Amino acid sequence: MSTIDYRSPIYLQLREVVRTKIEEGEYPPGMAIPSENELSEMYGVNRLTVRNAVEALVGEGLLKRIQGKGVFVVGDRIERDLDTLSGFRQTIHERNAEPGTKILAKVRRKAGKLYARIFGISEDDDIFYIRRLNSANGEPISVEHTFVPSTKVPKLDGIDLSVFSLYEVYGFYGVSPVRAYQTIDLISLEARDARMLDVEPGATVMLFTCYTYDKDNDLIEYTRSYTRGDKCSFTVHNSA
Amino acid sequence: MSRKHTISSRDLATELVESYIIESGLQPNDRLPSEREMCAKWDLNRTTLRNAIQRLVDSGVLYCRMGSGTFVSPPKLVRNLQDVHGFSEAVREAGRVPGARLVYAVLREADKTIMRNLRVPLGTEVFDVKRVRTIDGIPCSIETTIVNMRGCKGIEQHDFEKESLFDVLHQEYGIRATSGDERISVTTLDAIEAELLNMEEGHPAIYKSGFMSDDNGEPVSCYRTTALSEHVRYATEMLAR
Repeated sequence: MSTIDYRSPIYLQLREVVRTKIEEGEYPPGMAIPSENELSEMYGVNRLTVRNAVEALVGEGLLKRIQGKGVFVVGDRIERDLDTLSGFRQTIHERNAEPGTKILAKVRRKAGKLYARIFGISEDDDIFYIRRLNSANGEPISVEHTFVPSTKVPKLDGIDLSVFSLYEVYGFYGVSPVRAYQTIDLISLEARDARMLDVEPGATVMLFTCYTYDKDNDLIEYTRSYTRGDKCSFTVHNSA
Repeated sequence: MSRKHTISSRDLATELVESYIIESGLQPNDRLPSEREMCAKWDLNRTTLRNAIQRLVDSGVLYCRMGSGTFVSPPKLVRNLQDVHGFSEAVREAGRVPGARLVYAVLREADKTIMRNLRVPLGTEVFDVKRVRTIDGIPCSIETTIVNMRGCKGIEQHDFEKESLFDVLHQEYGIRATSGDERISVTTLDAIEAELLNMEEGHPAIYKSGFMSDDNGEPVSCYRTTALSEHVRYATEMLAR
């Protein structure tokens, strides 16, 4: 950017500093950039200047401001996501139900024997494990256990999944889901998950197991989702 | 990222047992080593191992037989919802033996539900067949199919205890169901269903209902199926468009 030099307005200079750090990956997608206070201290400029610089990038869609949480780097969007694909479509019985998601756990762990086998990686490779509770109008609908190999999304640790969805994060890392294989079983819930879903231990729920693959046919996500059958049903369209 | 205690010892034990089954090449109905052996092998306490095994029993990977141990369950029949094969063909492809027990096969007049699903006038004659489907002789599902008879007069002459409805429609009448919509939910067996499937009343099952159409979008049949998840697993594949 030859148009910016030391005589340019400070906020424009700072905007380019932040832009460069985003482009070079110092501020990776999905992560929060330093706070206004930190930036103002770092560069010895006042907070209003920082705000102007940041707002400009928010306006460009490079950053996303979440009230009370901070300012986050937005990565590339994926054009297709599986929500628009054919497959099971969940219908929540209640009309106009407001969906909600709560992250119950997010850990980096070793793949271990089972997940090494599932993902085709080595036992010592890291994977992320995420447990989420999905609700409608505040009522629990499903508990989701998701496993993602760290080779595909190395920085998932630092990303706040209440700010970005997993699919958004995949897009940031150039991983795009192109195929998913899903199965349905019935299963009786053990106490921990039953408590989460607000049903009796041993109650029967639908278990969806989903394998999601990218264009290289690598498994990028393995999810088990325990879904209350009294709250929703599923439809699927078939054609040969 | 924090909270290292979020992977419970039960989760880890379950993973160990599950990968052991694959690694050791255990076949359906093979017995797992004794609890004591497994505890020693993986340095687990008894309660953790039992919880892990219970979880795998609940999810149908293992089954217990009183006094004689824990065994590997036979695989479920995977029914891909997108392929429009009949039940018999899918079972045969899995290397198992399909069967059917006829509950009834009758000609009847279309009621309002059938009228809507098959898009025929109220009172039109339709073929209504109800069967218990079996895999290797074990009852797995109850299937009720209502066939639009427009292109298949005389279909009731066939013996659907022996013949496949799918094959008869295709081979004899040139009718091929190629697309459809279906809905899946959870149900519990009523007394009649329980008796047909050899289970207890109130036992949970998968309820699937829908219709099938031919290439021209003409409804061929509508159906409802009550299937035992212990034996049948439904699958679907989603592809990027």
